Amino acid sequence: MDVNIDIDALRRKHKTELVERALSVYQTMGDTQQVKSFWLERLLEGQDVRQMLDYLKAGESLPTEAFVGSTQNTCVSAGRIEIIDKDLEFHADGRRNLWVRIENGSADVWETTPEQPLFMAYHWYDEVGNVYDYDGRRTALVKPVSPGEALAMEVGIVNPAEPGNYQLMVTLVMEGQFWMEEKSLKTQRTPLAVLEYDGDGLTRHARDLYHQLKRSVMEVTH
Amino acid sequence: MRIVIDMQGAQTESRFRGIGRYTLSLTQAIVKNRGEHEIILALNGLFPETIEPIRGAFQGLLPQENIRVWHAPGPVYENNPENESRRLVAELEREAFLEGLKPDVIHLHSLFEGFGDDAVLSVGRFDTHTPVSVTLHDLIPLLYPQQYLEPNPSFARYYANKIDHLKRASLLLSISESSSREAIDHLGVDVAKVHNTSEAAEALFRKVAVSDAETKALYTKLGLNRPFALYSGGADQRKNLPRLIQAYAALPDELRRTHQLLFAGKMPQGNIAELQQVAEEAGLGRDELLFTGFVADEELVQLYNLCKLYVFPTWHEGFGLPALEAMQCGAPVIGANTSSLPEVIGLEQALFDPTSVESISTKMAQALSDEAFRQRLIAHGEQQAKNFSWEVSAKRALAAWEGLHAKQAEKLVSEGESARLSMEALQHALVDQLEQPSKLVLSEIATSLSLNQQAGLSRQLLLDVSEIRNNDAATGVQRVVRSYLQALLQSPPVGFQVVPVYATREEGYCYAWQMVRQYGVAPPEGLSQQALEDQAPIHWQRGDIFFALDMQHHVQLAHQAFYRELQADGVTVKFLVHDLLPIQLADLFKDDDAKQLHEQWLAMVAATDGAVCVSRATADAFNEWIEANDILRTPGFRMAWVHNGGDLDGSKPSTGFPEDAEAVLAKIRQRPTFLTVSTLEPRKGQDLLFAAVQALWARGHDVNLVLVGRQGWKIETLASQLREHPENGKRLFWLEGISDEYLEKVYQASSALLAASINEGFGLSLIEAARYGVSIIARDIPVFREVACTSAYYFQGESGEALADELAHWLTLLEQGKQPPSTELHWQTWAQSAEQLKVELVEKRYPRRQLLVDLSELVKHDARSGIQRVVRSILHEWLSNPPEGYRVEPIYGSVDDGYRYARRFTLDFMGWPTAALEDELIDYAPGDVFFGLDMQPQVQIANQAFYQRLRQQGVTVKFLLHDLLPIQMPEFFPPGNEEGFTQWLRSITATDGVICVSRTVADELRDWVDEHGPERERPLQIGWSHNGADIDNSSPSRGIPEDAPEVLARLEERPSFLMVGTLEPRKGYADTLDVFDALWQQGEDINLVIVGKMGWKVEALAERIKSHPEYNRRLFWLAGISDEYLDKVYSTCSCLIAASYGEGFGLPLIEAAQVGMPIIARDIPVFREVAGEHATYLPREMQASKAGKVITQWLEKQRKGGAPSSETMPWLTWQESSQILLSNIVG
Repeated sequence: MDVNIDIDALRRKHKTELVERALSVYQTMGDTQQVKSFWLERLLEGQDVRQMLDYLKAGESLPTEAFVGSTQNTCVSAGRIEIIDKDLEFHADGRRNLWVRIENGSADVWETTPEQPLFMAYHWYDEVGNVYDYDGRRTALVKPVSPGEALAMEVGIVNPAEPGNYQLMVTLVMEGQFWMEEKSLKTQRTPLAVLEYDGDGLTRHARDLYHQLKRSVMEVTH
Repeated sequence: MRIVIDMQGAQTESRFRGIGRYTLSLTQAIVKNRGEHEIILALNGLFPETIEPIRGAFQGLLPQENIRVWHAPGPVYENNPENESRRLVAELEREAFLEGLKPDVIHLHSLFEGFGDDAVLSVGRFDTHTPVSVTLHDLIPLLYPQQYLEPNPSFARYYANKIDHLKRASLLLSISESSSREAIDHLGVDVAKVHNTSEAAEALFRKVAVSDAETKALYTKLGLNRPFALYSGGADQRKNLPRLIQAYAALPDELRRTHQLLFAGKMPQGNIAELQQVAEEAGLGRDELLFTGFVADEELVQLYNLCKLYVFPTWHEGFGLPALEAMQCGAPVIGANTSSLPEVIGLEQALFDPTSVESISTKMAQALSDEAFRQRLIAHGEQQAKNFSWEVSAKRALAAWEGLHAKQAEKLVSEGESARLSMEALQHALVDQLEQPSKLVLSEIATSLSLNQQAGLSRQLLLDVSEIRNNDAATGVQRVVRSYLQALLQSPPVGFQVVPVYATREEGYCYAWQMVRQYGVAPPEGLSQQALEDQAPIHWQRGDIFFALDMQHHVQLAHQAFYRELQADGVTVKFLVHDLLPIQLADLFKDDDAKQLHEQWLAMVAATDGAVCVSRATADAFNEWIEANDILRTPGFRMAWVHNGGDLDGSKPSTGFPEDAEAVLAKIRQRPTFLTVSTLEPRKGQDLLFAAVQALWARGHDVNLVLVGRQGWKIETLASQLREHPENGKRLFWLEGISDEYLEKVYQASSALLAASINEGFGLSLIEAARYGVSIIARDIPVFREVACTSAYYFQGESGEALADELAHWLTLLEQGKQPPSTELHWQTWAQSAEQLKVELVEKRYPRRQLLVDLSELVKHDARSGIQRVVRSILHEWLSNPPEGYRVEPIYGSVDDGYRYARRFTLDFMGWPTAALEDELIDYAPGDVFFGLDMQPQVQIANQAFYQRLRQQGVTVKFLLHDLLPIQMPEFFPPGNEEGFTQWLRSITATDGVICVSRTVADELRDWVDEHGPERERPLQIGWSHNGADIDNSSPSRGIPEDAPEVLARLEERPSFLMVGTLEPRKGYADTLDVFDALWQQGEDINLVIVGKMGWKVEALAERIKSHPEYNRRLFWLAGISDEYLDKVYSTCSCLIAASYGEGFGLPLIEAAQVGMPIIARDIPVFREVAGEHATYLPREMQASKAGKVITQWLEKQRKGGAPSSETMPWLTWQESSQILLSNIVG
C-alpha cells in the first residue's frame, strides 16, 4: 500500500465508489448527480451506509428534510476530542500517556464493552500529512460517557520510532467498524516534534546507566 | 555476619496465608534474637502496598535503614509467557541488588512464588558466590504431579524451574522432619544441607474464656446448636475432607445426634458444593455439616476453644499449622498419621490412618465419647504446643546460618576470595535477555538499576593515581601513593570497592585496572576489553568517594570542573596534600611557575570536601594559607592529617654495593659522622651543613660529613665545591644514587642524621634514622618537632658558624652519651597510616546521605513573607554548616515534573561561583532525609504519592509546620483556604514527622491528628523547634520620611504603645483600639502606634483609624515604613502590644525583647510559651474594661519601675534554631 496517499482523498474516493455502485444497483430516479453528491457528503459526515441503502432500496433518492436535520445528533460519533496535556514532549521509540478531553455529542452512551468495542486510538502523520502509523494503540474508555458529558482521560501512545516532525490525531474507533473521525467526530491533527530519546526524564545516575545499557546493546548487535 | 532475608513471602498473596505469617513471624523472631548479626530485609518494589505494613511490623525492632527495597520493571508473573524477558531481567536485577548488600548469607522464606504474581525469586542466576538458604515448606506438587502439575503444563514448567533453583541453594531450612525427608529423598539433597527449623503458631492462638453471650452469638451466626467437631483450613484434595465426612457419617447415631461437624475457613463455592454432595450421599442431615466461610482470627480462636474435638485428616502437610493452633488453644486434637502430623501432634494414640474411613471414624468416636481420652488429648496438646515457638525456630535458623558461614570462611581460606562481579557483567547479562529492546525498556531498566544501586551498600573508593599510572618517577610522593594504594586495595574500607583511576590532561578519568595485579588484587569479573585496557571511562554514583592520592597539578587542574560535577552528583571528593613548599619556598623550586601552579591546585582542593595532609604542620599551613588569601572553602571542608608510614612494607628495597663500599664504610666508622639523606637542592639546607662542618674542621673537630642523594636543581655551586673539596673521599663523602641496601649500612655506621631542610611536608628521613637507631639532629621547624618530638636534637643556627657551635655542643653530648636518643621516636607503619586514612575518608566528613530541603516556593518566588524568612535563614545556616554525614541539597518540586535539585538557585543564594550544573531530577536512597522546609501546598499535595514512595524506599520524610490558623480561625483567611490547608495537612501528616515552630502548635497538631489524621503503620513524630530571632540585617531597608522627626517627637511626649504587623483581623487591632478608646475616655494620656501595611478584610478598621478623633494626635498608623525608621520608632516607644488571636510563633515579642522593650500580650498559649514571665498579659477576650485595667496597672508599675522586663527573655539565634531543628529531623 502506498502510504503517501492523502487519507481524505482516499476516503472521498472510496465513498464515491460506494455511492456510485449503490446508485447503479438501485437505479434511482431524479437528478443522479444531486443524489450522488447528497449521499457522498452524508457518508463523509459519518452517515451509516445502511441508512442510504435503505432509502435507495425503498425507491427514494433523497430523504426528507427532517432526516437531514437529525443525522448530526443521532450519529454515534458526534462529539469532539482535544488534547489537553500541557506536556507535549514525545521521544522517539518511547511510549507515553497523553491527557485528552472527549466530549460526547451523540445520543448514545460511549463506553467500551464487548458489544460496543469503542476505543480511544490515534493516527500519526508525518510532517507533510502522509500517514506514518494509522492503526494506533487502543485505550479503553475509563468509564462510560453519557450524551452531553465530557471526560478527561489518558490515552496510551506509542511514539514514532524515529525523531522528527509529526502530526498526531487522537480519535475514537469502533473496532472492526469505523473510525469516528470519518463520521462526525471533531478532532484535529496536532503538529508535534518527536525528539531523539536520550534518557530524558531520568535522574543523572539513571541516565548514565541508560547510556551504558545502550552501548551494551550496540555491542551485542554489532 | 550479615544476613539478608528476602521478604517476598509476606508480599504476595501468600501474605494472607500461612507462608506470609511464617515469613513475618519468623523474621521478627530472628531480628529479636540476632545478637551480633546484622539483619537486612529485602523487599520487592513491585508490591508497593505491602512495604509500609512490613516497615510498620519492624518499627522499633530493626532500624528502617535495614529494610531495603529493590526494583525491576514489571509485570513479571510467570503465568504469562509475555513476561518472560522481564522476569529474567528482574531475576538478574534482584540478585545483583542482593549481592550489592554484601551479605554473608541470603535467605528466602518462600521460593515458590511468582507464578501468578510479581514475586521474583531465583538462586544463582547472577550471583554464584553468595550462599543462599531457602525455607522448604513442602514438595507436594512434586510428589503428587497428577493432581498438581499434569493438569497445568505452564505451572509444571514453572515448578520444575523452581526446583532447579532450589537445588542450587546452599542450605535448606525445612519446617518439619517430614519435609526434611522429602528434600533428601526426592531432591537428593545432602542430609547435612537440610535443617529442620520447624515453625510455630501465633501467640493469639491461646486458651481464652469465651462468655456465654459470645458463644451464643457465634453459635447463632454459624448455625450451631450442639457440641461440634471442628476442622479448619482449605479444601483441596489432600485435605481429605470427603473421608472426614464419611467417617463422621459412620459415627454411632447417638454421637451424630448430639454433635455437629464444622468446617472453618474460606473454601471455594465449588468445593463446598462437592463436599455437601458427599455429605448427602453419606446420609448426613442438612445441619450435621456446617461451613463457616471466611473467619477472622479472633473467631477462629473462639472456635478452637469451644470445639469438642479438632480433627485434621489431611494426608500430606509440610507442617500442619492448624493442628498446632488448636492444641495451643486447648482443643483435643486428632489427626492423620502421615507426613508431618505425627511430629506436630506428637501422640501415637491421637493419630489415625487418613486413607481409612473406619480408622478416622473410630478415633473420632473414641474422642467424642471417652471423656478421659479427650482430657488426655487436651493435656497432651497443651504440653506439646510448648515445643514450638518462633524463638526456637529463629535460633535454629541462626545456628544453621552460622554453620554455613563457618564453612564458607573455611572455603575462603583454602580457595581465596572470589573477585566481585562488575557492573559491566550485569549489564551484559541483562542485555542478553532482551531482544532488540526499545529505548523505553532500557530506560525502565536503567531507572530500576539506579534505584537499586542507590539502595545498595556498596560504593566505590576511586583513587586517582594518574601520575604513577602515567609515569612512575619513583619520587617520594609516588612512594606514598604506592604504599597507600597497596594498603587500600588489599584492605578496602568496609562497604567500598577500591578502584584506581587516572586521567591525562586531554582525556577524562578512566579505570586503571591493569595495575591492580601488581598489588596482588584481581580485577572484578566480567570486565570488558575496553576496561581491561584501561580505556573505560569511570562511572559513579551518590556515596562514592573520589580521593586524589596522586598529585599531578596540570592534569588535576584540567579536570577541576569534573570534581565539581562529581560533588554535585553526591560523590565526596578529597585530596592528599603533601606540602605547601612550592608556595612557602618558591625561590628554591626548579620551576618558576611552581608557586602559581600550587596555589591554583590548593584553591581547587579547598573547593572540594576535604584535604588529608601528611602532617599537622602541613594542615596548619594550608589552613593559614586559605585564611590569608581569602580562598573559598566548601562549607564543611575537612582539613585532616595522617602521618605517612615509616616502614618499607609495600616498596621493594633496591640492592647492590659499589666496589668502594667497604672502604667508605670503614672511613665512616673511624670518626663521628654526620649523615644527610636527600636530593641536593637549596631547600634541603646541605650548603649550611657543609659550611658548618667546614667550620668544625677548621676548629679541629675530626668529623665526617656524608651526603646521600642525587644532585637536584639550583645547586650547581655546592655540587662543584663538594666534588673539588680536598676532604672529598677522606672526611667528606657524596654518595649519589646508592641502593637501599647500601644506605642501610651507611645509616648504621653514622653517628647522627642531620635534617637541615628549611621546610618539609613530612620528615620521613627522621623516621628512617629512628628505625636504624641513629641519633637525629634536625632544624627546629614545626614538622620536625611534630615527627620527632623529644627524640631529636634541634638546631636553630642560620649560618655555618652558628650551626657549627650547636654541632660542637652535640658532639660534647655524644662524648658524654647524653645526646637525645632516637629510639623513643614513635612512628607508624603504612598499614596503620592506611587505617587512619580510611577513617578520614569514610567516617569523617563523608556526606553520604542527603538532606533534601524542599524549597518549592522560594525557588520560584521570594515573597519575603514571614515563612520565607524562616526558610532563608534555616537554609543559609544548613548550607553554611552542613551536618556531619549529610549533604544539604536544596530541591524544588512541581505539580507534574517531580522534584529537581535547585542547583542554580543555590549557587545564587549562597553567592558561590557559578558552575555549569543542571537542575537534575533528584535521586534518593535509604537513610536520606526529605524535609519540607518551605510551604507550597499545591506542589506538596500533588506529590503525596511521591512522599510515600520515598518512605517506601527508606527515606525519612518530614515537614515544617508554622501554624494551624487556617483551620483554627478560618474566618481570618480567604474563602476555600481551610479546605486546601486541610488537604495539605493530611498529606504532610501521612509522613514520618512534622516539626512545629512552637510547642503550642505541636500540641494543637497532636489534637488534630488524633481526630483527623490519616491511618498509619508507623508513628508520626510531632516535634517543635523555635524559630531564630537574630534578624538578618544583610539588607535593611532605608529611608526616613520628612515628617518623621515630628512624629517621633509626638511619640516621645507621652508613653507610646507599639503594635507591629500587617493590618489584618487576626492581629487584634480593633480590640486594642477599643481598649485605647476606653483608656482615652478615662483620661489616660497615652499613644497607640500601629506599624504595618494594609492587609485584607480591614477596610472598616482602616476607615475607623483614619477618621478617629485621635488620629495623628495620640493614634498613629505608620504604613510601609523602612527598617531604619522602624528602629527609631522602637527606640521611642515604651511598650509593645501583641494582641493577635492566634500565632504559630511570636517573633514580634522577641524583636521587642531584643531592644529591651517591655511587652504586653494577649494571653494565648504561644505568647506564654515565647515570653513566659517576661511579659504582661491581657485577658484573652480583651474586654475593654479588664484589658484597660491591665494597661493602667502596667503604666503604674512602669512609673514605679516594677513592670516585667523583657531584657532577659530567652531567644534563639538562627544558628541555634537550625541546629535544634536539625536534631529534630535527623536525631
